[in-house]
Amino acid sequence: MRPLVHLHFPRPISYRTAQTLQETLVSRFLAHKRDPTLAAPPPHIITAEFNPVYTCGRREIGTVSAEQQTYLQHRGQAEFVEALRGGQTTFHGPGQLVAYPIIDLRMHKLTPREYVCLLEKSLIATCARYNIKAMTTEHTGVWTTPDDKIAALGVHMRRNITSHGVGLNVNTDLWWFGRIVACGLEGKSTTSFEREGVEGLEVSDVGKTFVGEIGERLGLDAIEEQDAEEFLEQERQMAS
Amino acid sequence: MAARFSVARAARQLTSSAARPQAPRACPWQKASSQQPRLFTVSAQVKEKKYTEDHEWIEASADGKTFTLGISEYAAKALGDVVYVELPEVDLEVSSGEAIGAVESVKSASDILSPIGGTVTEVNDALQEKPGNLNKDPEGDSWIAKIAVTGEPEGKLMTKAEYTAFTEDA
Repeated sequence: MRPLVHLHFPRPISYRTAQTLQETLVSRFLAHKRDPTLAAPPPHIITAEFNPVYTCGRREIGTVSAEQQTYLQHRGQAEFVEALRGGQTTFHGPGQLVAYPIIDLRMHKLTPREYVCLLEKSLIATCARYNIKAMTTEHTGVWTTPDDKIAALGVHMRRNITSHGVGLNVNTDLWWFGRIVACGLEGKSTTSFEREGVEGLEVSDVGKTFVGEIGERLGLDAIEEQDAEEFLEQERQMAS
Repeated sequence: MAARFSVARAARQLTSSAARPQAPRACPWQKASSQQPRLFTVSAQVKEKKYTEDHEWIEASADGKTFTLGISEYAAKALGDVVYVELPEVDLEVSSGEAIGAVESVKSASDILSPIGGTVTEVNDALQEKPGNLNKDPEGDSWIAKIAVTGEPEGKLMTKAEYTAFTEDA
């Protein structure tokens, strides 16, 4: 059985840093698909906290006006990025666990729809480990009530290789969400572990819980943890 | 890449579907393409509808100069309700294995790759208005794009029977 490689960023990072890492990993998987004599990379999952950033989804690319971007950037306190993932506009920032699994769905015999479902179940199980009852509704994402969303998801696939993933609010400053219609849903609000009364948690610990839940559902029984900054540094040295 | 798609989309939106009648399905491209000197003819192996491991299908036109590309019924089912289709820009030149668009459903966006190199001659604009049609007839009316071939297909292409066996194995 091959392990799930867990690449964790110990400090908040920019969206772009995570983007660089996930692109590096995806291209390894794609290289293996083009040339099967190259070793198949093991499944990976990246976890991080981002510096404040609003991202829009693929179908919104080119539709967010310059004024809207200026508003979102809030005097330079947040970035705005167009992402290739599914889903619509959302916020990532300190206190939110971001997890990006980079896996070959075909290797795990999952369809895209089953994969989204697996992410939702792993999120619900993670909440349950901290005594938060969460559920899915007619809308995607994970909710504590039909109106309060605790986790958002948006994924991208190329040749069945996944990228992007989930954002789970542990102790995110929810003010950032109040400024937007998150995920295109009017009249809904965003919640967090903290707002649900579960305080004092480290995002990295919740990250380990989530990685364990997803690893189990992917049928992987070992987690191999690595420092993502060191991993990127090694990549840079190899490239130079 | 994404920027290029979005520019195309913006341009299409500007010209508006009312002002710009939908391209007829039996399109006049064969005339236009015969004026272009660098066109190849699709080799015999693609004359019959073929499928990729990534669930795209391609089928050559009668004269073998263009092919129609779409996603398979299996893929449409596996994706679930399609909410958005990102189409390529007409005249876009693609190499085999390159992305020419994406299909979005339940918060997942999947790239559509072209298994053959060529120039996009026509896109199925109707999918922009009604992306859900991709779930209804992905291997017929809801094709994605037509491409004038400038190369040989690369990568594995399967017949219907081989593809069915491939998806049952998944």
